[in-house]
Amino acid sequence: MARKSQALTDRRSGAAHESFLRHRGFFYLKYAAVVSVCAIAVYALTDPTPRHNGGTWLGYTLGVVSALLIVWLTLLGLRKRAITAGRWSLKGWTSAHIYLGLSLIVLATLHTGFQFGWNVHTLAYALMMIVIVSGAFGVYFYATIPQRMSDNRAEKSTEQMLEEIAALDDDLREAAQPLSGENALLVQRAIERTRLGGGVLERLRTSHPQCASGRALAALKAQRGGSEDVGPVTAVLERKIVMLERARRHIRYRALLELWLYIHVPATFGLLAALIAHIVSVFFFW
Amino acid sequence: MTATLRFVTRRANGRETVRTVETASNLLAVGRAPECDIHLPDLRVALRHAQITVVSGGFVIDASGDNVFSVNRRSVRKLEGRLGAPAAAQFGPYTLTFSEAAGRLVIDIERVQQTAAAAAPDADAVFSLKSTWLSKRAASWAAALLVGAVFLAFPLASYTMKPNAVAPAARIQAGQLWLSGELSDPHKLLAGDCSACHEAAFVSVRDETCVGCHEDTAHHAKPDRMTLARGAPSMVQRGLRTVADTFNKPAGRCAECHAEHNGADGVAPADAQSCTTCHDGMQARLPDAAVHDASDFGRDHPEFRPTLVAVADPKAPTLTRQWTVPDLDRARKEREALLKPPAGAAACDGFAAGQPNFRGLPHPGAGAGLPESARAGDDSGLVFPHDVHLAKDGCVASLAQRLDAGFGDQLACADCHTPTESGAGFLPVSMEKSCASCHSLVFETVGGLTRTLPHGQTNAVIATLLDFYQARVVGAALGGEGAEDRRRPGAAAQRTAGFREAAFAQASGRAAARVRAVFAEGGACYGCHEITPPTAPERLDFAVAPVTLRDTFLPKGVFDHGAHEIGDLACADCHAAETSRTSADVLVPSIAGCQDCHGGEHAMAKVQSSCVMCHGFHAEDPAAPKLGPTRALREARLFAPAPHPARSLFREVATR
Amino acid sequence: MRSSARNVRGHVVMAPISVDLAILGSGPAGLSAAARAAQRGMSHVLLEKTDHLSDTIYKYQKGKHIMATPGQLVLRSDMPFEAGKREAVLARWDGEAARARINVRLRSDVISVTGQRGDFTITLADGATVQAKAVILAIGTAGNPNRLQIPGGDLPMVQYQLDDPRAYFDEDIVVVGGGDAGIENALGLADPDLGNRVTLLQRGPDFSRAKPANVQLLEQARAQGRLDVITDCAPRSLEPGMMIVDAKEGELRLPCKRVIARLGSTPPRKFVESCGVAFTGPDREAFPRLSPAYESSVPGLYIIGALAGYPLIKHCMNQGYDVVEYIAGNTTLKPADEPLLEAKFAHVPVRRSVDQWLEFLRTQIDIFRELSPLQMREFMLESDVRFYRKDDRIITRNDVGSSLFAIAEGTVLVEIDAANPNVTVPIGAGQIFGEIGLISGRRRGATIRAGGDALLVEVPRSAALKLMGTVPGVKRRIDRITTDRMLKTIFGGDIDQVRLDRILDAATLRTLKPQEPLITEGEVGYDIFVIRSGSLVVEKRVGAKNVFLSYVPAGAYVGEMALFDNGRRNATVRATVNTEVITLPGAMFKELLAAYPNTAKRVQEQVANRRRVTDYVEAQKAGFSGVVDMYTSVADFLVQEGLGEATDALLIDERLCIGCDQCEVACAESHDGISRLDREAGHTYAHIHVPTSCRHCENPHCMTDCPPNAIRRAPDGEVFIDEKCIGCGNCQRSCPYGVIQMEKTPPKKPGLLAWLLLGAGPGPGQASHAWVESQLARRASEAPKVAVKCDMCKGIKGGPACVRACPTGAAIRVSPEGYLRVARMAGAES
Repeated sequence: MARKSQALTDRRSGAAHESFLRHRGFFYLKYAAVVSVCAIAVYALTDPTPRHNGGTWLGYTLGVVSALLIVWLTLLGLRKRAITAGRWSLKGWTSAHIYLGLSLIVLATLHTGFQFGWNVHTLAYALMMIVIVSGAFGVYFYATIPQRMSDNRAEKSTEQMLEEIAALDDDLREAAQPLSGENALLVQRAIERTRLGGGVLERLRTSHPQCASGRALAALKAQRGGSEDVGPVTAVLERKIVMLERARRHIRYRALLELWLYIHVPATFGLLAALIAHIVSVFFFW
Repeated sequence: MTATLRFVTRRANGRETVRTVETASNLLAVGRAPECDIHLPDLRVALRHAQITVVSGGFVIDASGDNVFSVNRRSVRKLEGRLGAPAAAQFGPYTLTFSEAAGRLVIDIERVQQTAAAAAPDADAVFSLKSTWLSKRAASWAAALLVGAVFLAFPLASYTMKPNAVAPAARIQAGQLWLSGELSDPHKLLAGDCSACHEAAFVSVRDETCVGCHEDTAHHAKPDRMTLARGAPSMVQRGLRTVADTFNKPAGRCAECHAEHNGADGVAPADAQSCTTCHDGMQARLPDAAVHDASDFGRDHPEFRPTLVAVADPKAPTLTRQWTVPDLDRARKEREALLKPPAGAAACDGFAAGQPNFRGLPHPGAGAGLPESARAGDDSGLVFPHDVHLAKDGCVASLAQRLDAGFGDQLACADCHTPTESGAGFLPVSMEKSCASCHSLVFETVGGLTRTLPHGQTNAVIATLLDFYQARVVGAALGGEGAEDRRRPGAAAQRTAGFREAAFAQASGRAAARVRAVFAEGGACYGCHEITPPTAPERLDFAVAPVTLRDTFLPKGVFDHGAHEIGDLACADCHAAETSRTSADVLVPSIAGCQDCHGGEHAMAKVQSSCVMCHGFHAEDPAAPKLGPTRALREARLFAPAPHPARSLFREVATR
Repeated sequence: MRSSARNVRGHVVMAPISVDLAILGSGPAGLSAAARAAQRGMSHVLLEKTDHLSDTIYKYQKGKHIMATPGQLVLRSDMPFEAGKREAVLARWDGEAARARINVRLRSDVISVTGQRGDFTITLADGATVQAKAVILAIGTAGNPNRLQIPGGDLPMVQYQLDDPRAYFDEDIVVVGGGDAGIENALGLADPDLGNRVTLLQRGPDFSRAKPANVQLLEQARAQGRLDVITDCAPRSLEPGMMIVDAKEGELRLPCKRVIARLGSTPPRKFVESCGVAFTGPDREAFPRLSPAYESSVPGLYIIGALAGYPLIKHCMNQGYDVVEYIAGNTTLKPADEPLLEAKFAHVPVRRSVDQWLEFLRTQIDIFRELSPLQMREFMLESDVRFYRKDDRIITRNDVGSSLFAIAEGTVLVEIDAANPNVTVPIGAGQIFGEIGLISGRRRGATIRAGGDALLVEVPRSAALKLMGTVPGVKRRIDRITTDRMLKTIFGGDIDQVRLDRILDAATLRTLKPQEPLITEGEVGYDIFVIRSGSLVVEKRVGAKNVFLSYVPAGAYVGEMALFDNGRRNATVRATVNTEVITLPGAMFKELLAAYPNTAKRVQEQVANRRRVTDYVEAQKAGFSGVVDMYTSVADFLVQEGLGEATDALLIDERLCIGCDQCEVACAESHDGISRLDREAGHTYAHIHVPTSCRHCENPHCMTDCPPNAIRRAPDGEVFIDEKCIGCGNCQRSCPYGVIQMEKTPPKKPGLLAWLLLGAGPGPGQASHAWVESQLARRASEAPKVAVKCDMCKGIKGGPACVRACPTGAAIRVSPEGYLRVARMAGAES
């Protein structure tokens, strides 16, 4: 009994072991669904004159609701950064953000009454859809990436990954000491020109043919059994490349988890501006 | 000659570690290989990079193979230095500084460049997108500012600046940005200039603005009565009203019904809603209202109440709407019972024979008439039996066949009723166009020359007849044609006097007889008109009852006959003309007939017909008061002497 | 150092010295005493072993911030002291010592103190002697480092401490001793940047004495070839530039320019006892027996400072002042802490002077009987006096509390039956209660209310432990009471005392190391084990692997099933952490059950439950279900991660964690800018990640050695550090999970909006070190480093911010029972 009520409060406060999608047993999903269905029902059942648009009482209502909703959804950015006391749970907010955000597709579309044009009103709508779609991507990545990321990093923290690589570089220096000019240069490059991270696209890429270490390894392998014994160096290089791949995968996952926000957030602020313009224009030419 | 090697390592806290080695030989190998005297463990240095030879009073550095080293940033292969003259050589990250102490060459070996590993990058910089050029903050600002500038600042500016300060194109562009929906066709060319209608910012479009152009539109009714008619608003309406008021959208504005920006279809409201708000149960609110309640054509619409002539009068007839179509039909039935139809050809005879006239209604002063119940009807003052004219046989049919005037075997409606151009209604029936071809007014043909009575003025008719016949008689008396047998000379003189008197008397007598004949039964007028006999038998002051023909019996509604030319739908299907025996009959069909096909606005299996299908909102009759430039508007004009923007724009366009 | 120079000259002229007062040790206590003596114009000498004053503080690392706690205690000394940098404090004291004309004698290593009041003879290492009428021992607890007892051990190249490793570079250095100190020094010196060639000598085959973390670092460094480690060896002799070592392989000649000998130190107790001073008990924690005037069992020999059990600088200095006053015959002087004590008794309706109160309590409460008035005083400073009216609640079942209550007057009633508060057992005056919480760190087992007006003394855990250490009798008594009460709570209050006592006499205490098995499956045995502290896991061997059955926390008991399975143990029970169990002979237990049917019933129910689980697993034996397997291994993992002793730990489900570090941000944001958890660090198993963050252990390791007793457990179980922290870093060292960090409080950041809109400042979360430093540099005031750790957002509405701020629900806080739920879930899902 006590355990039960405990579990209950847990769910309320978001402390329960429940993902942001199934928070409180999909509470917000249900909520959003109900709201949307109601909106659709009212839209279908009423027949305003001369037609459905933002100017009917339903239109205005949906408009106001949607606008407030947009503002509230934007506040998530503030909420997650302003760590105040109180029984709020960011998980709950995220959950609400996602489902109520999706419900905007219905509410706002009905608000338009399917009147579109090359004007600020449709711009606001379009921006909103961009925000929502990018958000949907975000949800997808949030739901799929973490496990892969966790498997990939295998208990290693990012610092540790870098340290490993740095350590291997030191080993490389050691191992390369006996090497002569050409090969020494190769290793030198592998140490100094191996790049992690880099540009956005590079982060998203799965293969890195330009990687100095990779090239060095290839070049050295090519001359196995040559005059010099490159065995030790290649061994180290191989280890390093494994590490690099791990790190790059991690970078890629991080990028996937973050990138969508770089569309989501600016679009949101574009949307806010458009929203203001939209509202002003409506009242200005009242 | 030997040298002192000082291996210097500078540490984070700036302190130096110096390991000093005294060399025995004066050949010093420099390189990455461990066995070198000067061991520089860095890949940028070759295994055996160079050799330093210590000579008396100096030293020489020789790079081996194709290695190079740099001396103050210039890469060289050889360097000779004197003892005491400071010199420095750069090998990869190492600097060799040559100095002299107690006659010995001293070489400081120091690593100046940090190793790559030393600068450990911040993990977050490597792994997080934060380190890329991407910036949420910058992008957000950019997006917000861009949108704000283009879609808020620009339109606002172009609105607030003086019209001539902004290029029309820009103005139109700005307008387009804020255009909330396509304008109706008539208003299309206002699209460029929002302020044409939205005169003041944050003020909803005012009626004055609309009226500015639509001056001649008539009021629907007196505003005060309209507000009364609207009645107490429901909870919801009041709620909406309050919201509208708080957002400064006054009630009863033109725009309330005429919602613009909803596409080309126009701004006229097509729904019953706006009508029924008042007309549904209005009697309760406005007991003295002339119109009955109506909320839905299919379910709740009053019977037609034709507007009929009570007292005919070409100038100011007295009209009445006291009867509904069923009343009229009932009365008609009674009349038909009373007026036995003369069988077949006898119709014409009867027509001649002095039966109670075909008007069916007692004319004032025409003594006895019909019972009260049979009196419902239109008192146009004309005598016209539709049945006789439409009969398959009988005098009219035979006359139609005899006359070669394009009639068929019998008369058809269209022979008399000509539709208007639009086909919606019919041109007024006139004696000249519709009747004259049969009902000739010719009263005499002399020498192939026909003489016709003028239609319309009784006196003219009487005068024409008198003149004509008296003139003839007089002409005869003067020996003209028509004189009696000739007499001998000599005896004529004394006979002439008596003869003249007799001639005059006979002439006027004959003329009067002619006049009487015209107005008498069988005379030209008698058939269609009610004749008032002269005040005294010898006098000729006949009077013809006034005639007023209505071109529509339902002036409040519009019925488009053209729209109803469907399949073989004939006039008779709606108008029972064949059986109509008197001109009192009103052949307007009952609403039931309409409702066979037409239902209310939301009718399921019928033609959905809202009020505006038949009724206009703004009063049609020219008498109704016009919206006109109201006082308010005139005052507005005083403050804004410039011509109304919409007007000027129209003019602008017109002059293009 | 001018003063010392002068005094060195001084001591050359005057030998043997004869003074009224000899003060041994120039720490805060000694200095203060000497200053007082100088002030009073008493002839005195301050003997300091080293060549500088107050060695302990001198040995602190450079720039260390020294705190002046407790804040409310007034400083009464001729020596000034306030919080500040080590250098500042030392310089100040040196200056003052000179100004006050304190007669210091440096490099005076005291070998013996003999004689009694009026005539003491103090022999110094350099042969000199000092005659003194009275002696004050203020030598602290640091003791003397063990010397390198080999030929050449006295060469100047040998040193026994290392202040700044960075002071030495490009040298051949031999570090002797594989304790933490030795290892830390060796690692410090082996920094490649210094270019030293370091060799570490260890007598034993491994580094059992050192902290695992240190050993790990050492191995790492060794693998990287940064230093050489030689185990199973002993230094034979030392000569300039060379050390000869006996190693397994035989004689070893190590080039060496410097020898750092970290051979531990002999506690000063031996020396003190050699002076004839009696201690309160044999235990390590015992203190010298002292009078209220700090006089030891040797008349005329006074003991103050850390040695007397006062670790805090202010205490020591005050005592220095007081003791000199007493010696000078000022009996009316009230100790500086008098006001503090008065405050403690203020709310008690009865009026008594502090001394009367202390005497009263000491005589009333039997565990206090053996305390000296001085110790009593000491205790009351840490303890609280509580006064309750009839039926006031004193402690409540399932509350967290580790303090010990002693009844001075009146009685209290224990509600042994949770269901019915009227079933109570009285505890009379002089008795104690609350000890189970103290021993096991578990929540309170029963609600206790006042039977009438009652006057209690609440002794906080640390003080209670100290008490048990100081007075051996107390420990024994408390142990027995604990066992007794545990049995009562387990078997119900109706059990009769006689029988119970027989069991108690037969009961034996046993301590288990982590993973050490208590019961092994299949063996025969009837004994019942009551877990006193720590916790156990019950496993069953199925096929090749152990299947996790259940988790047994302190306060519960195991082994009873054997009674019903004629002695065959059907599962293995092993400790998760250091665990204390009470062994009860099975036979006695059996008759106990026979005598008490309803107790027997309860036990049988439990047996039935456990049997069900075992049978289930048995059933699984055939086709072994991956779920059970996973469940087991996850449970194992969590137990290994120390959650066995956790009361509440943070877990991260990595199937949900997007690595946004919101948890850290939230933590930093709600705790003045320092994150107390490291999300990425820590181990992961089956995607259950245990980040580096406090587990709020049942018996917190960090509490074991906190000089100002600043680490406490809050009513809701959070272990937290209060503002008394002096930044000594003991807790950081003693936490096995590395969740405590020493941090400066970062400066204030620009507002959130300023950052959001304009990017001002470092943004939410823990600011980068670079930024903090730059800010601190701007404003001159130096911020002290203090220990910070998770306090479970104590006092913040809404609870732990890390969990509240997790956007995906990856972060969860679980109790021991809870994490098995998680394990089950993980098992089920993956």
